[in-house]
Amino acid sequence: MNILLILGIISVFLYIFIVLNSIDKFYRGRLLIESINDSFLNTFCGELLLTDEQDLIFRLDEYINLIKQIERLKYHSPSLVTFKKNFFDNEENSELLVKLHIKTIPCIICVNCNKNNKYDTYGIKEYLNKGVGD
Amino acid sequence: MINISINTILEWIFSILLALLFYKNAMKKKHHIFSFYKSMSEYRFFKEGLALRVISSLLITCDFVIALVILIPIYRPAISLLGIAIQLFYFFIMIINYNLYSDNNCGCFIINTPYSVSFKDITINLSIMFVFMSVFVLTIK
Repeated sequence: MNILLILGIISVFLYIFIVLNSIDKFYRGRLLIESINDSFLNTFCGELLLTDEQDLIFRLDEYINLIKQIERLKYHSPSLVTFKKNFFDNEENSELLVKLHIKTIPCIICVNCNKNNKYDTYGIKEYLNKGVGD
Repeated sequence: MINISINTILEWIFSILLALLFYKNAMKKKHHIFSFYKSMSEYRFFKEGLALRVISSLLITCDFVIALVILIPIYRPAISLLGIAIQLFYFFIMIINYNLYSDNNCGCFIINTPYSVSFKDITINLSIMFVFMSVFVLTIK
């Protein structure tokens, strides 16, 4: 019984430690809405992002990895993402968004995207803050 | 006729109360694990990093262990001592962080990690420590 107890305690500790490590690693990669500027968007335009609690942004691929790792914990409730225009061409991606209850907006708002990548950063912040779109 | 002493009844009542309290607290900490970790990092004692992640995991594990193992009579004295040690640890943390306001604390933890450290929280901490001491004394009698 002693051995079972010790094994149980070690398992609980390891489980909590792994979950905490995953979340900490994830949060260290967070981005603030306030940090959105042209340089930010040049880096992340076309990347999948989502907001959580309306003031933080995450990359969806990292988020999904986290969800997989801590599915039982259900720590986050995502509210909004941006995605590439052809994202919904893939049926699996569409199903994933529905499964995760993620609201989406069509794309990152870009003014004159084809010419010089000038972004409407104010509009993007407004979108993210309001959490609009389905 | 079954002869149960008042000491045994008290021991079981205290143990069940502590088990329920620590189980509920441990579940809250598990569900808000990052909030717990961040609030620990805000205390003037710890710095964010691997060591704090280990300590936070250990503290949550201890809560679960206390909740479960205090209900097994043969382990009760040892677990009471662990409980006293944990409460002493939090007491020390609360004293050096008195009146601290935590930005990242969800305010949802039942004991030991309050939103802001007040006299009431320290009193509750000491009361729980007293209950652990009572269980320990009743058990070894």
